[in-house]
Amino acid sequence: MNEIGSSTNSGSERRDGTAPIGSARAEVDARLAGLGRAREAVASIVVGQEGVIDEVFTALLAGGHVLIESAPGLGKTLLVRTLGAVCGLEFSRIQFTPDLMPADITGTVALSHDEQGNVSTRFQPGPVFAQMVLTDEVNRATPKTQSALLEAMQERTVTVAGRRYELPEPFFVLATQNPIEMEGTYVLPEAQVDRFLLKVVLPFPSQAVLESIIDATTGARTHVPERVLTPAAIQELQALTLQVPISGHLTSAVARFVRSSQPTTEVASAKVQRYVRFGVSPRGAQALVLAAKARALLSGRYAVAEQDLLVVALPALRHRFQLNFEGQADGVDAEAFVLELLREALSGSA
Amino acid sequence: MIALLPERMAGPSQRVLETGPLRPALVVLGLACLASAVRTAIGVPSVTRVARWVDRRLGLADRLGTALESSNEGSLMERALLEDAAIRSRAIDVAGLVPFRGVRWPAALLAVASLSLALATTWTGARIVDDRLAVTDDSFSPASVAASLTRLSELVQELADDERAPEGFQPIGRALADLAERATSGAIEPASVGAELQELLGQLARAAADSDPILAERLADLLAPSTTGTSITAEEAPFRFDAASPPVSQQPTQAPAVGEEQGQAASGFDPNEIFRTLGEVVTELEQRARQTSEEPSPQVAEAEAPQGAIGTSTYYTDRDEAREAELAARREALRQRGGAGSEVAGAATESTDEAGAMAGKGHQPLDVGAAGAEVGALEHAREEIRLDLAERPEGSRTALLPEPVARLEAAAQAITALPRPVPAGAEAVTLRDGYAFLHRDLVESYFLPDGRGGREGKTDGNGFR
Repeated sequence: MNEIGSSTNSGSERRDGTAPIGSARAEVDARLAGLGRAREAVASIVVGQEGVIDEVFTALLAGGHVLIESAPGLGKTLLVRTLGAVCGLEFSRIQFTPDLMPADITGTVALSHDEQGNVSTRFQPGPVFAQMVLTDEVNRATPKTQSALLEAMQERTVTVAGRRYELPEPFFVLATQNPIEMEGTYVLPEAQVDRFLLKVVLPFPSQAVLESIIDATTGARTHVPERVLTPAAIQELQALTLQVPISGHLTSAVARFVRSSQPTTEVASAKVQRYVRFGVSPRGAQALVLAAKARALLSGRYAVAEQDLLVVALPALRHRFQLNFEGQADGVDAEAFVLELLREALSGSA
Repeated sequence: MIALLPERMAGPSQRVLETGPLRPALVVLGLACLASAVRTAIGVPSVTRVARWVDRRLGLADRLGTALESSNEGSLMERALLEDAAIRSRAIDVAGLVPFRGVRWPAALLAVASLSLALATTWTGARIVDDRLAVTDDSFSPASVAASLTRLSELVQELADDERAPEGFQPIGRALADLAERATSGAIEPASVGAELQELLGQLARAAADSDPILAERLADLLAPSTTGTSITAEEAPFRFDAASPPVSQQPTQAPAVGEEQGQAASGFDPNEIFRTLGEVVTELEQRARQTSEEPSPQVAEAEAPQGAIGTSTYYTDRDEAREAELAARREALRQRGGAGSEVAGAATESTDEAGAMAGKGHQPLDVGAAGAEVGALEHAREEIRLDLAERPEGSRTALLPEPVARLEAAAQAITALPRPVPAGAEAVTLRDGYAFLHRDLVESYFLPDGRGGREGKTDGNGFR
C-alpha cells in the first residue's frame, strides 16, 4: 500500500522522472472533459432524460449493451441517434419483427457477377455491422433471431457461411422493448437478458419536461447534434474505465451482496430464501462493478465510491434479479429489495 | 493468581510486599489494567479504517481508502487517484476527525482501583518493606543507637562552637540532636534512622570540606565502605560525599520506594553499616576533640607559614607525580605529628616510599618543613605545602595547596599574573589539577621549563609527559 501523498511530496517530477507530478490527473481530466461535453450535447437534444443519458453513457464507457424498456414515443430512437451523432459512431437501426431472420441482422452471402460474367460469392454485411445498433422491439423477433443478435453482442463477431467476421469497435447495441404490449412477443429468456449490461427504464416525462419536449420538437427550428467524440476517443475512455480502481472493501461488499441475493446460499436471509427466485449472478457482479467504474469516471472521479454502486445497482441488476411467485404475490418490490441487500452488504464493509 | 502475587513481587531482590489486605485492590487494579490494554489494542483503528472514516466524514467518495490500496507505479487512473487524494488530504486534520481517544471506562476503573489501593494502604498500615533494610546486628539496639546519636550531636555541636567551623555545622548538630530524640522515643524506625543518619553525615562531610579537609576525608572514607582505606584528595572528597549520601528524600521517615532500589544499592545504604559508621565517626570526633583540647590550634597565619622551608631539588614531569608528591608530603607531615588516622599515615608512608623509589631516577622525596611540627594536623591540612624547586635552572618554586575546587579560579588568576617566563626565585601556588587544567601552559613551562622536562617520552594532549 502506498502512503497518500507519496506521489506529490515536494518535487515536480515523478520518481522515475518520466512525467511531472500532476500529469496523470491532468491527462485523465482532459479526456473526461470531452465526455462531459458529449453528455451535455446529448442532453441538449434529449430533453429531460438526464438520468437515462447518464446510464446510456455508463454502458457505453463500460463497453456493455443496453436494454431500454419504455412505452412507445418516449424518445428512444432520438436518444440513440443523438448519441451516435455526438459520439461519431456509425449508426444502424433494426426493427425487429416476427418474420425477421438472423441473416437479416448478420448479413448474408450473395452471388455477384463481375463484368466478364463470372459469378462469385460476396458477403453482404447486415445492419449489425455498425458501431451503434438500435434494435427496436427486440422482443418481437423470434428467439432464433434474438439469439443471433445476442451472440453478436457477446462475441462481437458474426459467423456467416463458416467464415467469421469481426464487428467494428466500439460496438454498442441498444435494444428496446415495450413493456405494455406483450401480445405476439417473445420474451427474452433470463440467460439472454443477462447479456445486457444495463436495463434502462425510461420514465414518463414530467409536466415541465413534456412542455420542453413539445417546444423543442414541434417548431421550425431543428437541433442538429454536434459531433464531440470520436470512436477512438470512446475506446480510450473504455480502456480508462477498466483502470478505475475500486477499494477492496467495496469489492468484498459486492461479493457478499451477490451471495446474499442467492436463495440457495447459506448466507441468504430468510426473506431472500422466501421471495427470491434467482438472485444476482457473477455476471451481475461484474456488471455492477464495471458500471460503477464507468459511473465514477462519468462523475469526474478517479475511484469507485459506494454511491456509484448504489446508483448503478438498479440498471445493472433489475433484469438479473427475479422474485418468485410468492414474492410477486406478496407485492415485494424487487428493486427496493435489491437496494436493501446491497446497502446491508456495504454497511458490513465499513 | 492472587496467591502468586506476593512471591512474584518479592522476586530476586528479596523485596516482600505485604499484600494481605491489599489483594482485592490489586486484583481490581490488575483487571483494570488488563481491560485497558485489551480495549485500547482493539480500539486502535487501522490506517485503512481511518481513511474510510475520513472519506465518509468529509464526503470524499472513498478516495483516501482506495488510494491507500493503489500503487504509484500502477495505471494512469491509480496515479491520478493518488495525486487527487494527496491534494485533498493536505487540508485534512485527521486527528480532529477521527474520534479515537483513550478508553475512558477502564481509566475510571483504574482510578478507582488506585484509590482503593491508597485507602487500603492508609487504613491497614500496609507497607512495602525491604528486608535488606532490616537491622540484623544485635549490637545496634535502639538504645545504643540513640546514645551514639546523642553523643554525635554533642560532638558536632562542640565543633560548631569553634569560630572557624563552617556555618553548616550548627543545623547539622541540631538535626542530629532531633534524630537522637526521635530514636530514643521510638518514634522512628531503625531503618529510617539509618537513612537520615547517612544523609546527615553526608551533609557533615560536605560542610567540612572547605574548612577541614582531613575530617572531610575521614568522613568520606567512613561513609564509602567500598573505598575505605584508600587515600583521596580534597577535590575528590566532595564527589565521594555525593556518592556516599543519597539525595535528600522529601520524606526521610519513609522507607525507600521500590523504584529507588538501584540508587540505594549504588550508595551502599545499609542500616547496619551506617550504625557501625556512626560509632567510628563518634570515635573519630572524640579523638579530634581530645587533640584540640590538649594542644590548642596554633592559628598560624599563612604569612607565617614556612616559606620555602621544605623540599629539595626535584621537579615533576606530569601532574600525577606532582599530586603524589604533594600527597606524600602531606601524609608524612601528618604522620610525624601523630595525626589522626592510621590509614592516612599508612598511605603517607606508602607515598613516601614510592617517592623514594623514584630518587634513583632523578627524583628525591619531599621533605616536610619545620613548620609542620608547630601546627596541628588540622591546621596543617589548611596550610600551604611548598615544593622548593630552587635547584632548577630557573630557581622557581611551587606550592601545592589543598584548596577547594571552588577557589580555583581566583588562585589561577593570581598564577596567571606571574611574569613570563617565570623568573628565578618566584613562587607559584599550585592547585594541582585545577592548576593543570586551567593554565596548562604555565604548568608546562614551570614543570618542564625546557619544554622536555626531566624525562624523555611523548607528551599527552595536555603537554604533559
